Amino acid sequence: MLAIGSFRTRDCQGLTRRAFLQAGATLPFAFGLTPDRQHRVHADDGARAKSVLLIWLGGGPSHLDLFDPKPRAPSQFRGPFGTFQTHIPGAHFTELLPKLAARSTRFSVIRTNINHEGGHRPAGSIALTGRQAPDGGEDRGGKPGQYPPNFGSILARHRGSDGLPGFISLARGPIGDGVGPIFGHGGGTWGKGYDPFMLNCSRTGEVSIPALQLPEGLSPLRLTNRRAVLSALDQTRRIVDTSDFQKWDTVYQRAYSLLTSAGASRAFDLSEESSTTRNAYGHTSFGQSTLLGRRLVEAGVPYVQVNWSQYVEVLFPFSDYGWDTHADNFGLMADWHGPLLDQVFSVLLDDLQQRGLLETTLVLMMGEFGRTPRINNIASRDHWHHCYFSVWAGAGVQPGRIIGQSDAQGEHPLTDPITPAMVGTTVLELAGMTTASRAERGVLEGGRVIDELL
Amino acid sequence: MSCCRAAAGGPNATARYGERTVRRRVVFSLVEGRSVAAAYTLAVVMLLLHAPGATGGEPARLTHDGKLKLSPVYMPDGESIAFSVHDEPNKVVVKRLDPRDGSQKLLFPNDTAHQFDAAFSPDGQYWSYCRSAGIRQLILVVQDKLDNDREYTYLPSGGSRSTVRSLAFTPNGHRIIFTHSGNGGLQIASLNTKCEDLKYLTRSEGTNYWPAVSPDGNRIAFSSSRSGPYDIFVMDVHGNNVERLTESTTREIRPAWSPDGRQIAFTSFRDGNHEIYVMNADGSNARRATNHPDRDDFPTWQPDGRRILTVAERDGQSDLYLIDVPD
Repeated sequence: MLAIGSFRTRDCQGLTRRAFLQAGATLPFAFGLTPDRQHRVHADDGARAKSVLLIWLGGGPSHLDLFDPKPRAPSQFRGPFGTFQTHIPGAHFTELLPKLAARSTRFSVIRTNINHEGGHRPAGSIALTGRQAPDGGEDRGGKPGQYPPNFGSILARHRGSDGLPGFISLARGPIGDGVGPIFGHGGGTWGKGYDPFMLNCSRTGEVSIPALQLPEGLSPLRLTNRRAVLSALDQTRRIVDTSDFQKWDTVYQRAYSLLTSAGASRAFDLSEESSTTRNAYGHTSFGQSTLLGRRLVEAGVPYVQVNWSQYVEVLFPFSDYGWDTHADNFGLMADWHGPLLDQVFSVLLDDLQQRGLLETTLVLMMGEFGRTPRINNIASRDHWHHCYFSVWAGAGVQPGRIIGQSDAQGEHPLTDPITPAMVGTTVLELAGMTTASRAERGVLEGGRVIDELL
Repeated sequence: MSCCRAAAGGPNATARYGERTVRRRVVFSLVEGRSVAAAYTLAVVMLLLHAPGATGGEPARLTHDGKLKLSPVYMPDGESIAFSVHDEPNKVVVKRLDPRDGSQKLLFPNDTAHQFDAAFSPDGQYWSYCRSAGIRQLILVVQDKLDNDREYTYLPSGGSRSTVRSLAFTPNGHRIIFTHSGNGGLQIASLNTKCEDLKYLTRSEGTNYWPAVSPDGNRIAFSSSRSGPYDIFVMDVHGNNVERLTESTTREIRPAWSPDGRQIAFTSFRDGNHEIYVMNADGSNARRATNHPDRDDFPTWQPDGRRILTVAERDGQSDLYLIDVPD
């Protein structure tokens, strides 16, 4: 059985020409074959961040139940969790984050992020691109390709790539919600050629390519014999006309080259990590994906996005425990989300620091928004884009700071709000894209760097 | 930690426990299709034998797959353990573990939805769990095992995203106690086994969660944030005479009664991470049962009261363990 992208058939009869072309269209950029390759900019050309590692908490994590608790607020706001004093004078996190409270001198927290939309997909697109779509975006009849490019696409195009993709996103498939993917996840107006190269990492550390699934029995790390692989694809060859097959085969050869190149296969191979390290990250898909993200950073990938889940939803039949806790927020946060986030992000910070990577890696953790400070009528929390958090570390970010102050209920910023454009501008600036180079690309023009971080 | 403690409560309590256990196991064996003779034989033998690793000493690891686990509970046979587990690739299911050989199987294999928080009537006739059901996200399901698995469901009132969680049966098996979202918060409520006759037992501010019914059926322990971070409270089965048992600045959650009703195990964050504690049923003499930097959570008592079943994270793996009851 062979599957490419979302097309999976019993005997390949269902593999359409369109499916092959879609797969092909998403791959060239992934292998550093962008039109701008000749203009490659090296990370050491003044960039504080050789790599950016975004931990994306899709669904909207509750700021009040994590990094911005309000223990003195009325019970309809504060929630049931206690707080821990951090090492930052006067700053508390909730008791869901004890390990991060103990490491609070290694990162800074912004408590006044805002977004311009309250729906997952448009807010996600805005958070990942810094801009609103001119056609209204996902919830207003907008079409794919109308958003500006993702921060990762911009940086990858700016940097180019020698071998490994410039922008890798780790998830089981395109991130989004049950309605569809986030349009701003990739190249946007620049085209699908600038989409991220997607990898999936299972809880056991097995790496696969959602957009180019391999014949059963083969994994990227087993691809040592191209002849054997092509033999397994013979049946596919017979149902595709020659010209299409040649296009697809070219793409496949590029994928094959990547997967079997020494650098890439080592970067993808979590078995090279000690059992101590793998255990520390925890044997969950998020934990092992975060470890893979660190390896990709170590291998020189400019922009890595580790996704908590593919879908924002928690309890729908298709979903994979995103942060959209409209229901049972307090049970899920205690059972699952809080402890897992605390463990994995703490280990990541430790690991990057011990390896000397924190100096040159910008770590950013955020979602598309927060959750309603006022607890809803079913004792949970809904979307809230008027005030939420982001966590920043490394690459020149001054650690141990709480930036911005929200009001007594965590509903609105009391200090200057931090917009998605400011987030993107700061990311790109630290990664070496100056105002001039952003203007040259026509991205995030007029954006302001979050000076309080630096 | 104690080793090989006799069941608390003296010889009479032990005898009563033995009678109840045999009776319960017989019914459960009949539910599972065994003959009456076989059911009695098995029940007596099982009472005399202890499960492997159940005799004290070092924590006994019962599972080794490392997958994220929640809400373990002993099944009415007194040996099998039902628990929720995050299975690959994106599913929470309830599985049944046979501790004797480590085998696991799906408890509700015909249900393709997420499944949480299994609970069983003491005689094994009713099996219940929470099912993810589209936008109305977690509903209560009760299966009558003596009526061809006839299924009763309760769709919680209070809006399209309301939920039920954390189920527990009364010792007589007549009602299910659970956490219900709605009525101004998360409240403790109850239904009969046909998912009818909803009664709210709490109507407080904050959230009320993790109800546990005492073995004599007279009291319910639960966690509530009515006066700050979660503390443990008790009330009578009608929701009256509420008493606060713990008073902490951090959360105290998931109370679990010992089989003799004299002690309550719970998860506490008072040491800065998840640890299992045990206290007397009046809230006195709280002492720590675990002491590890990784997570220890979801306590439930072994039916003979000798050890406590937990979910512990060790070396990045989440598994079921049996630990000793602290002196």
